[in-house]
Amino acid sequence: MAQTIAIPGQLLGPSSKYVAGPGTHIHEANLYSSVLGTVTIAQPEKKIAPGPAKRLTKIAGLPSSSAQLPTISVSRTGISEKREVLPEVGNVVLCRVTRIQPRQATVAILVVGDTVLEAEWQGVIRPQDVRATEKDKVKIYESFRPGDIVRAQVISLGDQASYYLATASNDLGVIMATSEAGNVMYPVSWKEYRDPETGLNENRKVAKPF
Amino acid sequence: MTTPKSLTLSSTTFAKLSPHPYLLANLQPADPSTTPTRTNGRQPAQTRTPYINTSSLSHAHGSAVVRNGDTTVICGVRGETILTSAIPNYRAPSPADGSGSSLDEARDYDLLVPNIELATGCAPNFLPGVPPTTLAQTLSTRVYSLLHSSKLVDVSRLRIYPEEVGGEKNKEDNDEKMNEADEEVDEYAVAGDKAVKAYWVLYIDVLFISFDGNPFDTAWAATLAALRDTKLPLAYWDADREMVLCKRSQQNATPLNLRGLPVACTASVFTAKEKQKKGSGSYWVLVDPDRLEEGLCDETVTVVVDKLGGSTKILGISKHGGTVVGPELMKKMVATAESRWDQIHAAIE
Amino acid sequence: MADRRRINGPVGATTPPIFDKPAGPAAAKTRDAIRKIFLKTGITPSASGSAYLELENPNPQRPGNTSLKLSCTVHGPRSLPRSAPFSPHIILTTHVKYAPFATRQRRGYLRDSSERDLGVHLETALRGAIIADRWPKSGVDIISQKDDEGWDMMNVLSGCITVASAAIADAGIDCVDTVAGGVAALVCKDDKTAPTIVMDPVVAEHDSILAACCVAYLPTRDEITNMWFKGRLPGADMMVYDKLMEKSLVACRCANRVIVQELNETVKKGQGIS
Repeated sequence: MAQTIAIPGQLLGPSSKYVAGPGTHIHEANLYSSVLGTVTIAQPEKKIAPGPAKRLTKIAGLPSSSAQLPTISVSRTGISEKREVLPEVGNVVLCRVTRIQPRQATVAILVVGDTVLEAEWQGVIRPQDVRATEKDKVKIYESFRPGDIVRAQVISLGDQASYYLATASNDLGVIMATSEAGNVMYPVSWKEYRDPETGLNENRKVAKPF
Repeated sequence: MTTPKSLTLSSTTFAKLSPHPYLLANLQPADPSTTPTRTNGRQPAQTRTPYINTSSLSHAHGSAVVRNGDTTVICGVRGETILTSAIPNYRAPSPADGSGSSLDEARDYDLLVPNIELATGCAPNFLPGVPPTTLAQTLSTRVYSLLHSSKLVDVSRLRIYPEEVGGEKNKEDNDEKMNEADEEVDEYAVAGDKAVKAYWVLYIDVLFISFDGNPFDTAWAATLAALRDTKLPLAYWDADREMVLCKRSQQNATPLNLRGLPVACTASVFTAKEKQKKGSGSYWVLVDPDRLEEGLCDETVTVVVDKLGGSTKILGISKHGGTVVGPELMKKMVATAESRWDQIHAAIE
Repeated sequence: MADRRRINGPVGATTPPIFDKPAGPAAAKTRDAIRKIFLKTGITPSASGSAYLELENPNPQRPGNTSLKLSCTVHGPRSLPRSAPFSPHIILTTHVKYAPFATRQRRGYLRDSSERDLGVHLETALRGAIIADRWPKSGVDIISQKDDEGWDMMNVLSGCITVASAAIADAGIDCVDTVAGGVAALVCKDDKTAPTIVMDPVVAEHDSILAACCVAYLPTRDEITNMWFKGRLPGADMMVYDKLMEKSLVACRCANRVIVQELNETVKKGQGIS
């Protein structure tokens, strides 16, 4: 596969001809690559993912004319398995619960979308973001336990330390849980997991199995 | 038993979310026709092939780079001199003192100084600017004690004597002889009538360039290879200037006389359950563990063997954590260490 | 106060070997190019990005064929420590460390002032190249380790800049350009002869160095991100300063060509696997 290789600082073309995609930047009306990777040009009808597009229009600053132009981007896929991405608002993430407190559950974000992260980012799930209904009845310790794997959505960039996450949707919530006896459990209802060995039920905010 | 959703996860996601079941699933495949392999594609007893390169540093007296899979270390040996007058409680070795005497100069006077540095950014959890971690301290101490307990370095090579009063000529003769095969005899003849004035102190610095498990084996292999590579310049005590001087010419530099070729072999024990009760359940002995495996295993065994000279000598066995390894398994470990020795020996020669 | 967490060796003072005869002088070579550079990315698989650099040894009478060996690892983007305040852009941290066996005198494990100084220079040089606001709330650690000889700080710094630039590109952190380092110096043989400007000076080859200048340069943008100048210039000739800078920039461009070539190789390797 002979794709065009771009290295940081390489001229890709004038900004009047392309829209800047991920991995590029504009300098003096020209588009330059900003990462090491291969160049891809997407025609305007192929809309790129909603997450990055929001940020990119901000950088391009030309949302009006961008619709007609093809998007040029530099991707790192195929060069290295290690591809760092930052969690962004709207992304669905997989995380592990590290600590629970009455006011919040602290989690470590491990996977963003389909990308497995090298680093761990801290996230927080507040009680009001756990369920869509009956928010005031939610108790954190009846929803999560440390060690659980949770599917959640990023709702805000959060404070200096943590992203804010929410599980207020049917398909979001705990997807893997271990019982107090140390056995892998399976979901039995929208709010319970069962230990197959002891037969005891434990409360969780259960994600709807696909 | 796992929820059906976990099947929809890709293997890399599964590995990140729950590494223990992931490794277990690889070692215990659901389909009996597939051979159980580790997540890194190796068989349980299979080691990574080591590559050793020596003499690459110009400022060290001896150096080695050892690459074992994705673990890479660099070791530099540097000689400095210390006057016997600067050693507290110094006791001159009697002429009869050979290697088997009660006086252990290398240990008593601290002539070997190994240090292992992990805070080089070799892995995300080892960043610089912090004091040595517990692991780094443990590794340094283990290398230190193995250096002394194996009596690897011949201390007679570290002694520095006054320059021969009889004249340069005689001295030069001795030097040449020293380079020849019957070094031992010659050394004692010289040592017999002269008092030791100073010692060489060997600073052995091991730096991790890249870290992917099994730090002790790799650090020890690098130490061994660097010591084998070490050539100290010929040093003598100059009575007029009251200091130790070294001969410039490279021909006078002599290699250290190492006793044997000890090789360390480490294995971790992986148990089917994360918190396994005593004596129950299945387990796997993973030789030469990588970073993922080390994080999932509680029990580790290290065997140090030396096969130089035909028969196998066990120089050290250490085991910590867990209760799986018994006498039977320990015998198997020694056999594994023997094959590891062959591998390292081939790489070092 | 002895460091109890390391093995310190004997209590008494130890001295490095003192030789009875001085070493022969290094043969001076007239070159109008920089020394050969060997650059390779991906030497530390456990880091986000990494690179290794070697400089050719101009007088290979010593063991080993190279004179400067640098390894660099990049960790990140990663989350900031808990105590750090909110940052809308990436926080850059740089560390430069000499290995204990890297210099003629054995170095300790604690960073000394010259190593801290190099770290600050490296940080300034790289900060101008990284697009920091692409990565909010995150930090990146750049660790440069000097494994072997290198005569002076300027050469080490220019090597650090070049190797770090390759490692950052390997890590996939957004940059406006590949930054490269280059050194030029004003040297003279003795008091009588007129001083000349050389690129990529090798300290041992010259009798005295009057002034030296290390520049970090973005070639496609034609911008300088860091400049370090020290020494004394003859006041009469104002052009010397300009010439010194120009020569440094030529050295930067040479180094940059090596980076570009190696990065192209990196991508090709990646494509070969996939």
